[in-house]
Amino acid sequence: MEDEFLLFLNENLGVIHRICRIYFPDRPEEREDLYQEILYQAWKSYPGFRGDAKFSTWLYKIGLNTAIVHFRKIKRRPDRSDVTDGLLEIPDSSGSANGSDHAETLMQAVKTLSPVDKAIVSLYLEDYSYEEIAQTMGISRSNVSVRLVRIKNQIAQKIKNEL
Amino acid sequence: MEPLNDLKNSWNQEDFEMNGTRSVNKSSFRDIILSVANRERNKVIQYFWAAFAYQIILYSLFCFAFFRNIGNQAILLAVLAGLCANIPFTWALLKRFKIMYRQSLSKSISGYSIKANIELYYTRLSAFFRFKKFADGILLPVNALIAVFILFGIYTVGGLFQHLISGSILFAGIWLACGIAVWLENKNNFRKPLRKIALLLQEFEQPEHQVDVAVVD
Repeated sequence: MEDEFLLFLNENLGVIHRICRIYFPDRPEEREDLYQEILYQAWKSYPGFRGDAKFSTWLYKIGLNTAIVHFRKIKRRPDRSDVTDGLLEIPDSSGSANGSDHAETLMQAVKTLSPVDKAIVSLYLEDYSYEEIAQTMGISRSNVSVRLVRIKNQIAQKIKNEL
Repeated sequence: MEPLNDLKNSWNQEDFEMNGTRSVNKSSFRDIILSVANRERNKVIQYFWAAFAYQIILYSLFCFAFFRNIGNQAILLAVLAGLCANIPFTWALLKRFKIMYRQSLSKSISGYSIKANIELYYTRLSAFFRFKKFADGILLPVNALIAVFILFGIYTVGGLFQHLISGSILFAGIWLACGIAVWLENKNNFRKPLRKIALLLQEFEQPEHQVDVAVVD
């Protein structure tokens, strides 16, 4: 089971990175903690994965759920560096050569959103349809639509303020 | 949706970079699982140590009173009453905590939406908190009364009934001190998390209102 899980996980590892990135764009320590927490929750939940949805969708649910409710800021312990060697250096594109200033401004604007709105944005960015976002989140389609318009306005306003 | 489309473009680019450079192998995966499991266990132990410190003091008092006053029927009855009141509640509390803890995210996530999972989490946590408040409401005054009765029975001539005023003051003091400790514990472990989850659920329901819950810590 572990091999199978790792296979699926590695194919969809970007899902976890993206969730970590959207929730903690400029806080690498929290991002690492969240990354570990999602991995752990996913492994714990894996026996319940029936395969009737895509693994990535299932992983998104686990990850967003963890990020929204179950994740609490954890005090870092000195011995953590052994475990996190290399692997947990989650890419931080905030200062990378590829990340444009505009993209960074957008991420900064996303940072100010509420946890629920961040979840909706992350699903939207993954090209989930309004219907799929509604189902995953447990809200109505019109609610998704209203929220995305509001989020767009909020982000636009933030960008305007930045300029 | 121009800003979101811009974000989507940069997002997809980033995604490509991430997927191309990262993977988890068996050894590092096990290290992470072990590390988080230990962290989680420590959190539980930390919570229980705080709760058990009080229990240890209480049961130590009962044991001390029992062995010191084997011939004193009144004190033995008080010890017995204390044990009868505490053991079932301690057992029930531990059992409920264990159930709540085990029924965490893992058992429920697959078939439900994120909102449904949050509601489930809220329901479980608030049910446990309700029971804890009920248990505390009974045990705090009962334990304070028994402790005062035993202490006055052992250390004063004539026992509690000969020193009703000082006994009442001590009873009120113990009740107040324990009450404050329990109130603070409940605030940090239950009221605050429940309030945050309630705000989250409220936010799910009301898209037109801005609810300020952007901080996850």
